[in-house]
Amino acid sequence: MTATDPEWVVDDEDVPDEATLFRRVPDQPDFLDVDLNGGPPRLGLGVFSYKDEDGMSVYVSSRMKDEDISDEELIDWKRVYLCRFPVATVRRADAATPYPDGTAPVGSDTETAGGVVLDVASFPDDERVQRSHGLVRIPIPPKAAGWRPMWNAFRIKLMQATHVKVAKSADWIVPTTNGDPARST
Amino acid sequence: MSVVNDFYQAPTAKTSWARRQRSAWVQKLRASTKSSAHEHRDRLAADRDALADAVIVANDAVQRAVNQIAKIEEHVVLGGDVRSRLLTCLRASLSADSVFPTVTSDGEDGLIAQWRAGERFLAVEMTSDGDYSLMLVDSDGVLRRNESATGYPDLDNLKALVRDFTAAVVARNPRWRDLFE
Repeated sequence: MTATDPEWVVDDEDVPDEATLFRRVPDQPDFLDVDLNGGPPRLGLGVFSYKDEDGMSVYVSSRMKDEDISDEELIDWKRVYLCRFPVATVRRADAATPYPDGTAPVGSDTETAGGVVLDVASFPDDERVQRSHGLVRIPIPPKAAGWRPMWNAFRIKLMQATHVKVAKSADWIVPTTNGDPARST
Repeated sequence: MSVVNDFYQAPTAKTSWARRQRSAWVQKLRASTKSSAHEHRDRLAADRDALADAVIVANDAVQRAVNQIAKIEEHVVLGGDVRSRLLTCLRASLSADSVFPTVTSDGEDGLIAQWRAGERFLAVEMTSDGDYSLMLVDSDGVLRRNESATGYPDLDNLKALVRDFTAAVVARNPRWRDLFE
């Protein structure tokens, strides 16, 4: 599949901007990283993987509502974390911020606007959960020419916006920017 | 007077004789043990490796990365030579006072070393297809570098980026090592 392949659908307009996307994150060493400034931990880049020629696996809150399932029913809390980010963030194209001398920063021309499509999963056993599954995509499919810099810019945007929860009873850890509220809210 | 003293204290006229003798002995030794030159090189290589290990142990940041990779390998089968390629980057760019990277899998069979301080972010990723990515985000959260190619990033430049990152962290949080205790 190539970037111009008409079969590569990036976004489904039926998923509202206000919806939240949940992603199951395996409990691997140090996926929750350290802020060297002493701030709250944040998920690292490794949790946002774009593979299998499909996209990045997520669960879509608008579908979950239809299926009457909660985020806590999505996962086995012993082996995975849960993270969440808004559909609006996925679709947002970050504007390039020029250097003070007026030049554009390197990499700033990389597209960061993506989308989400619904995609019924084959697991876990609960069919309601299967029907809530979706895929986050960017305009270039995984492994197609030029996908990596685009995905890098895109997943950094997600990393900055993502809330993470590491246990069923825990509060969501919300990223902050120099003490201000999360970028995604 | 010992032979050694004879050798070193010999008058100028005898020095050339002593040198000829020494040279003859060296040639005789090399001829009698054909593999000695190879063995000598092997021994030198072994010494060099031992020295490199000693340097690594002295470098907290690299040692911590080595330990993190060992833990990751309990969960993930790493692809190709990503481990050695990432360690090559870290050995070239980390000094004894560098802030520690966090090393994780990349969600597949590659590795990422990343540094984060607030919004400031630096990451080097090695993937099993032989490519690397280098990403740098400034303290305002703006992506400043985003390169991907085959092989390695410019290691001198990476060293400079880690040095700048360390300086920024030390200025803001001089007790950053406490986070790792």
